[in-house]
Amino acid sequence: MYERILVGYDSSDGAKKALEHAILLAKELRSQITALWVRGSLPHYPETVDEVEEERESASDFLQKLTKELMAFSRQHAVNIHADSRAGHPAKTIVDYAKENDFHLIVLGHRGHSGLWGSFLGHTTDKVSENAHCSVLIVR
Amino acid sequence: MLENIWFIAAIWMALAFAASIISIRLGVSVALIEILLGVAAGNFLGLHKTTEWINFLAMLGSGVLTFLAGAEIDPASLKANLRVSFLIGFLSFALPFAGVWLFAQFVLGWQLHQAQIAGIALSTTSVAVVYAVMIEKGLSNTALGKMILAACFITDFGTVLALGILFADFNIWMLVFIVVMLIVLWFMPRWTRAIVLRMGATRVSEPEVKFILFVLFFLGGLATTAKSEAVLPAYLVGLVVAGVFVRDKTLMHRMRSIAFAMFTPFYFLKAGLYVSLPALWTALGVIIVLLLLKIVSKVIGVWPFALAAKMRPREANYTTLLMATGLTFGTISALFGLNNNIIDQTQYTILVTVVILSAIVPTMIAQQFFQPSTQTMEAWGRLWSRSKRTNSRPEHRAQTKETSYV
Repeated sequence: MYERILVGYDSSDGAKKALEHAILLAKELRSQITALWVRGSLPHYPETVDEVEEERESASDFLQKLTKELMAFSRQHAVNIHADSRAGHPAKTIVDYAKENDFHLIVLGHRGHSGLWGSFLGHTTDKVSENAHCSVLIVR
Repeated sequence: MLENIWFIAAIWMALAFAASIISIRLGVSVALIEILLGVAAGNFLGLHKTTEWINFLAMLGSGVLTFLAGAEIDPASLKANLRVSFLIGFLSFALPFAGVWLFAQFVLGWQLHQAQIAGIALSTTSVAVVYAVMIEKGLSNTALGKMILAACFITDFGTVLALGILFADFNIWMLVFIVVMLIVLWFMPRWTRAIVLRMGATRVSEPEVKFILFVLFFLGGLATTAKSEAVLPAYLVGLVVAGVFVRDKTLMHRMRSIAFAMFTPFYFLKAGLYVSLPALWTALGVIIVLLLLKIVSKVIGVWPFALAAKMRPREANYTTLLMATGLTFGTISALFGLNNNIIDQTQYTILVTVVILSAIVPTMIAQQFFQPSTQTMEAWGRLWSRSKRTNSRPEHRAQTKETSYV
């Protein structure tokens, strides 16, 4: 059960709590953990090339920061955490990634970075839990 | 209260701020959102007029934006495939320019200068839009990707040149403008490099940014005195300092930060402000026809030559559709026409709407149906190089016939 666990990770407090829960589960169930960061798409229809380049650089810097954090988690809890990133809509990308890679459980923090916006349009967690092919654990 | 300069500035900056937030959330460029918010402000919020200082900031926005567009070209990429880039870029400008001009004048019944503005506005392409489309799939660094970007640059150069020449007065001021501009363009790379090297990296007073702005304003002044357009020298200055900017990204970032925070919001909001939704609704048929005409004339100009340049149909379709995009120079050309009373608000609405649609429709079709792989985009470079080498050796011309991608 839950041999493959996918954690949505964006370095927010909610995502860190979700990862800690996933690690506890993984140790208990001997599961593999993958932490996925979904970055927003690069700006469509930009006015300057530099606009796109700067977004790319900033995404690359953030990914490095996430990788370091995940390595620290990995060392601290003595578990392997595979890190990956994709571009796109957060909920859709997590749902598609989980399905394509046959994950058995998706773990998400209750609140990521999308607090205010999420209140209006619905949180990523709502959309993932509605559309995922597997079980979804939302950590408070 | 709304006569108070601070409150007017606050309203415009609030719109710019809202555009930034929406743009971050939607992953769409802030420029496009600013235009759309400008449309909403003009049609629903009663924001109908601009002030002198708003016009001034908007003018700086278009100038600096054009400079940045010129500075974005990688000179090495331009040189690498100069012949094919030049031909594709030139045809991508000339056919839509002539086609739209003639259609607007003889079918829509627009006056000569109005039809010319239509031709210029719809002949454009957009290096940045094309780059953003290709970078998502890692295509921008392939041989074909670089050639397409260089061709887009040539097309935009044609647009800027047409805008700078067609409506100019050919008098003594034009001669002064051309002579001074040529001198400045000749010395600009070494002046810029020297200032960046000696002062650029460490001085908080930003002498290198002020130097570039000084040159842009001065040449803009000469251009407008000669009844030409300030975007022409801005683009050319950008082109000649592009080599310096490739090495020193900091200067590029600083220029863009200043432009995007303070100048371009006023430009794009203003560009949207004059779009009339009732006029748009009435002219919907003309808008669709002009969009189709832009795409079809790009197909007639680019597609056969793309095939002749050893592209497979899929890559030729992709190249043609990307060359049919447009945004920055399209809106600049249309706003130039409106500001100089060449076109009216209905014609402006039609042109800006077609320009915005041309940023979206061709890219969506290209991505959805003709997305090539990085391998075939790279393979084109090898095939084209081999074909050039073969053609340059007369004894092999008749013997070698390349037919497939390897």
